[in-house]
Amino acid sequence: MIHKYFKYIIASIYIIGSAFVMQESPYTSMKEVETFKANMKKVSQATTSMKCDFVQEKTISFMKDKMISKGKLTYKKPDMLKFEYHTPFQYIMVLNKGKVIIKDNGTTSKFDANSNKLFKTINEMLLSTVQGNVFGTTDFSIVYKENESNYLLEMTPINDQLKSVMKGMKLYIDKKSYQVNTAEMIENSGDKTLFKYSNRQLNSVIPDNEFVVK
Amino acid sequence: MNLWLNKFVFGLFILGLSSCHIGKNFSKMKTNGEVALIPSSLLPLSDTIYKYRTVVNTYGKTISGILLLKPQDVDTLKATFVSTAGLKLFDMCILKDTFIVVYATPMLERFETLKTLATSINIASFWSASKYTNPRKGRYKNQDWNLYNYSGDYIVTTADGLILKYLYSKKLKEKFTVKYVLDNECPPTKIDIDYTRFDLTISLEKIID
Repeated sequence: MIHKYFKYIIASIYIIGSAFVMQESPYTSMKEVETFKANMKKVSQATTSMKCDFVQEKTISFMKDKMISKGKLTYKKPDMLKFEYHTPFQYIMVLNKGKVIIKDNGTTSKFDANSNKLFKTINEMLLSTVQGNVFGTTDFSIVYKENESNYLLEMTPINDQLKSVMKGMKLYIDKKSYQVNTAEMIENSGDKTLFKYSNRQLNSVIPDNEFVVK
Repeated sequence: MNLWLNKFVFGLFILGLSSCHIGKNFSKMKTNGEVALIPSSLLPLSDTIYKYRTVVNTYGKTISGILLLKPQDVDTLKATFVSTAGLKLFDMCILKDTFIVVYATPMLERFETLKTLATSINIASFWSASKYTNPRKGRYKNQDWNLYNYSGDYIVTTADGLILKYLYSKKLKEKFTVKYVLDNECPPTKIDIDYTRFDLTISLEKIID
């Protein structure tokens, strides 16, 4: 009898314990905003290139499951960025010196990023979120928060064009490395897209032709 | 980025829609008065969300993503298209006679573009099957076809149901062709929509979870 209840007790302790471990400590207002900005600037200046894996999680209100894509991200200062999706579908998106190149289902398309105001803003936003350098933006208002392990920047669009595209963005920045580890885009409908970055390699030599798509 | 691409791609859709040239003519079709079966929807009503890998090609440009189709009830089909890069492009409810846009990315907020997409989904999925009236059988180019009056326009399908053509009522000009790959059961594993009068193809491939 005791044995019968004992396994339930152990299971309950395990579940409750896991819940505590998994729960992230709450975010409060950042105390040292200027110090944070200065440290971010230092790290950003010292970062000349970056390679990492990413996982994209799309949450849609009427779907139980998230739509998950995985790939590799490559960045080279000042303005070269590549999102290379590997699963479930092959897809490449490159920002290269003001040009946007997309390889989709075997077809390559090239555009001028500066030809459209909204497009230019999104281009700059993508680069900023990877660099973590968003403080100079006039497109968003930013609320600075922190918890034990992360800084959190809650970004709300100010201009009407961006407002029509999204409700806001959240950037989660690791307190030790000052690198963005998660970026979340919230659409006006409430649907979300989460980018989680991992296996980061900083300042390796990346040739420019890495950002050429054929 | 994708927004900009979409603007370009769907701008071309509009150009395509506005261009007119004579398509294939089905006026040679003769009907013999036999009544054919009215097709039923290819998307059975259930809690299932049908997921299709979708590739849109137009004038050398491509955009891909996942089209989510969820029958809400007998009158309403929810259609949501999310690009590969995770951006929601549109979210609409397709009804028997019309469609309601819940959300469309700003670059898509053009009636003709959304109507083209809604019509393609509606007809290719036989969603408005109950609107198919006056079914008749006929022959065209040595092939048996079922001909349906579709609110003034026409739908023709091959006897085996693997090919569908949507025809404008005016001189029976062809608007688009749909080809299906059907497994034993609905929904189809592959649907290819090919517009006749301008360069637009929409390819849907069922995603098996």
